[in-house]
Amino acid sequence: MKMRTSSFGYLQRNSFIHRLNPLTKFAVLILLVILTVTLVSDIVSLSIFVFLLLGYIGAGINLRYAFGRLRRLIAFILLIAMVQLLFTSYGIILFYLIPPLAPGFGPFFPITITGIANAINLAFRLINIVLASALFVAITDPSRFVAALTSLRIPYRYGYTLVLALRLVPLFDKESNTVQAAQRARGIPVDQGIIRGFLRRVRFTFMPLLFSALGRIDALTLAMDGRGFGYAPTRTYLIFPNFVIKDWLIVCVSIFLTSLLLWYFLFVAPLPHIIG
Amino acid sequence: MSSPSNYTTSPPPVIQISNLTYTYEGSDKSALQELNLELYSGDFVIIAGPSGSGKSTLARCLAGFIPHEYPGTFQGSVNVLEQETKSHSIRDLARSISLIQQDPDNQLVTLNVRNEVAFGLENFQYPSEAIKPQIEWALKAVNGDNLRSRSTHTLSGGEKQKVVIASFVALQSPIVIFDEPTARLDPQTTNEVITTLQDLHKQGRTILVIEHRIKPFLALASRILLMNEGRISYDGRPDQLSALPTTLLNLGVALHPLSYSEVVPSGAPHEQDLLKIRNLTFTYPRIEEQSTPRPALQNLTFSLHPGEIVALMGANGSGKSTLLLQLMGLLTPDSGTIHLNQQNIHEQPVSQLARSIGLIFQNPLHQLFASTVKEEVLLASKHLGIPEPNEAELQAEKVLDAFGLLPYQDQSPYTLSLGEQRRLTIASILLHKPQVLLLDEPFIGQDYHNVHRLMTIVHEEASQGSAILLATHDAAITETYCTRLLFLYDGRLLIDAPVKQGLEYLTMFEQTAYGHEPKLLEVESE
Repeated sequence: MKMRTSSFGYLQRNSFIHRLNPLTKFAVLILLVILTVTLVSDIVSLSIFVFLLLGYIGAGINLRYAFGRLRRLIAFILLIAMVQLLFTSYGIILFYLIPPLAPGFGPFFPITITGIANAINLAFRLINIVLASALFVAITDPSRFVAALTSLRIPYRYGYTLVLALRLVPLFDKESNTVQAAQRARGIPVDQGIIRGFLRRVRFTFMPLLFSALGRIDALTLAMDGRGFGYAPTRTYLIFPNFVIKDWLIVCVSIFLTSLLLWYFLFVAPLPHIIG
Repeated sequence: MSSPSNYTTSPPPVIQISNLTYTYEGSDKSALQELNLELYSGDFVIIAGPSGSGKSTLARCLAGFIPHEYPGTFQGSVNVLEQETKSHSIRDLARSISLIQQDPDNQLVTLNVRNEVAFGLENFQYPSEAIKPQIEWALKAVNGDNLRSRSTHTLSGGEKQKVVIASFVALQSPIVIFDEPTARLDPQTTNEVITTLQDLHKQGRTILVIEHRIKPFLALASRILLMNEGRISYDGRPDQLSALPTTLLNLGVALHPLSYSEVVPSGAPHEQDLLKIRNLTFTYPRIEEQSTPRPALQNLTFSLHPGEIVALMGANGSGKSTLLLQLMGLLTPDSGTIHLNQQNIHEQPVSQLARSIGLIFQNPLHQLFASTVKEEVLLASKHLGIPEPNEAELQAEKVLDAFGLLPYQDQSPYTLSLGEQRRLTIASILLHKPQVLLLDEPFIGQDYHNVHRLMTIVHEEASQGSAILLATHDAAITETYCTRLLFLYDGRLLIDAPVKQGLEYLTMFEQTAYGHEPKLLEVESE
C-alpha cells in the first residue's frame, strides 16, 4: 500500500507563460472554457486538448503532472460520460445493454452512435476544463493573482480566500491520509469490504478532519491578524503584476479568435465531428 | 537590560499587566487570576509552568488575541507600549508585539518564502522598494538567506519555523513572544533557533519565551516567570533557580536531567526477537515532478525484544515517522522484511495487525474518532474483539484513571486540552494489550509531570512483555526512561546501542559530524 502524496498547486518556473500577468492567464482560461462549453465537437475538443498540452510543455511542466490532476477525477468523468451514453436514446442504435427479458419487457438502454459521440464529447470537454484549470493553478502564483485582482477593484480579502484554499488543500489532503492511516492502526476495518469499508472511512474521517481544519483555520487567522492583515482597505505588494503590451496583445488576440470560432461554427458552418 | 532588582531605576515598562483575570467562555475556572506584571525593554523572559497553568493564555492576552478573538470574561488591563490591548485591535498591536505560535504550518499564509516574509509588510502598506531590503534583513536575522526562493511546502520543520519567525520580525515589532519555539525541533535546529532568539535580543528586542524545557534558554534569560494555576508563582533571575529544584519539579519544569526511581526494564536477555526488521529500504513517491526521489529509509536492520523501551532519535526528516509507519504496515517497503513473531506483517491487513502493534501519531486530533472519551478508549477493542466487552468496560475505567482522564469519560474528546488528548490517544491503544507500542513524539507540549505519568504507564506495559519504540528529540527523557537508543541519520541507522553508550556515541557524533557527511560510528550488533 502506498500513502498518497499531494502536489496540487503553483509550480514555480520562469517560463514566458509563468511571467504573463495572472489576469491574462485568467482571461485565456475563461475563453477556453467558453469554447469548450459552447462548441460541442470532438474536433474542437481535440484541438483544445492539444493546445493545453502545448501550454504545459511551454510552461516547463511535465505532462505527468497534468495527467496526475486527471487521475483523481477520472472516475467522476467516466460516470458522467456513462450516464450520457445510457440515456441518449436517439440516433442509430448499435445494441441494447439489456436485451428483451420477456415478451413485452425490454429491451432497455439502447447504445447509439449519437450516445457514444455525446459521451466521448462530454468526457473530452470535462478533461479539457480540468486540464485548463490545473494549468492555470500550476502557472499562477496566487499572491500575484490577488494583487492583479485588486486592479479590477476586487478587495484583497476575497483574493486571499483563494490563496488560503490553495495553501490548505494539500495540507488537508495529507491530513486525510494520516487520519485514514490512524483508523487502520486503531483496528477500524476500513480496509475490509468495499462499501462498508468506505462508509466506515467517511464516518471516522469527518470529525478528525473537521476539528483539525477548524484548529488550523483559527491559528492561521490569528497569525494573519498578528501580521496586520486587514489593517487598511488596501495593501501594497512586493511585486505588483503590471498589465503590459504582451498581455494586451494576448488577451485581444484570444478574444478575437474565440469570437471568430464562435461566429463561424454557430452561424456559418456546422461543427465538424469525427464520430456521430 | 533590566532585572527585578533594578526596577525602580528602569524606564517605564513596555508591558504592564494590572489585576488581570480571564476566564474562557464555557469554563468555570479562570485561566489567569489577578495577575500583575511589568516587563522592561530588553528583557529576555522565560515563562514556564505546567500544562494548563496559563502561559499561552498570558501570551494571547499580550498580543490582543484575548479579548478580541477568544470569547470569555476579561477583567483588569494589559498595556503594551502604553496601548491598552482591550481598546486596540490585534492589527494595531501587531506593530508593537508579535506572537509566534507553536506550529509553523498553521502560520504560513502564502506559497513561497519571499511572499511570506513580505506578507505583514504589505499589510502595513510598506512600499515595494522598502519591502525588498526588509525581506533580506529578516531572512538574514534568522540565518535563512538560503531559503528566499523556496516554496513554503518544500521546507523542513525547522526551516518553516525560521520563515515564520522572519515574517514576524520583519515587522520590527520591539516585543516578540515565542510559544514553545523548539517543541518540534531536533537538537541541531533547536540550537539554530536559540541563536536566532539571541541575535534578536542583541538587536534590542524584548523577548518572551514560553517553554517546558527551559535549560537551553537559561543562559540568555534575564528573568524567569513560573506560572501555576493562572498565577505567577516565581518571578526572579535564572541564576537564583538552582536553589529551587523542588519548586521547579512541582511546577512541571525540567531543569536538571530527570530522575526516575523505578527499576528500568533491562530488555535483556535478547534471545527472542519480537519484531525483526531486515534490510528495510523505502522511497516515497515523487511529490513534485522535478524533485529527485531519495530513499527515506536505507537498509535498516534491527530487532525489538520483549520488555525493551527503545528511543528512536534523529534530526527532523531523518526517517523516524516513516520507520514507524513501516512497522505498522502502513507503507510497503521497496525491499527488506518486517516480521512480528516470525510472521511477515504484510500478510495481514493493518486493521488486524493492530491487535499486535499499536501506533500513536504525532497529532492527537488525527486519531480521535469517538463521541466520548470512554468510547474512544473502547473503540479499538470493540473492533478487534479483545478483551471481552465486560472486561473492556472495567479495563477502560482503570486506564482512564491511570491517565487522569476518568473525570472526563463522558465528554467529547475534542473538548480536552492538547495534553489530555495526547494522553487519551495512548490510553486508547492499551486496552487490547498490543505486543509492540510505537509512539511518535508523544511529549510535545507535555510538562514533566505528564511525561512522567506517560512513561510510568509505558514502563508497566514493557514490564508485561511489550516492546516500546519511542520517537523523541529529548535526550533527557531517553536517558531517564529508555533502555536502548536507535539513531537515524538521513534514513540510515547510525547508532543501535544501550542508552548510556548510545548517548555517548551521539555526543561524539554531534561534536564531530553534524552538518557533514557522517562517519559511521560502530553500531553495536545484537
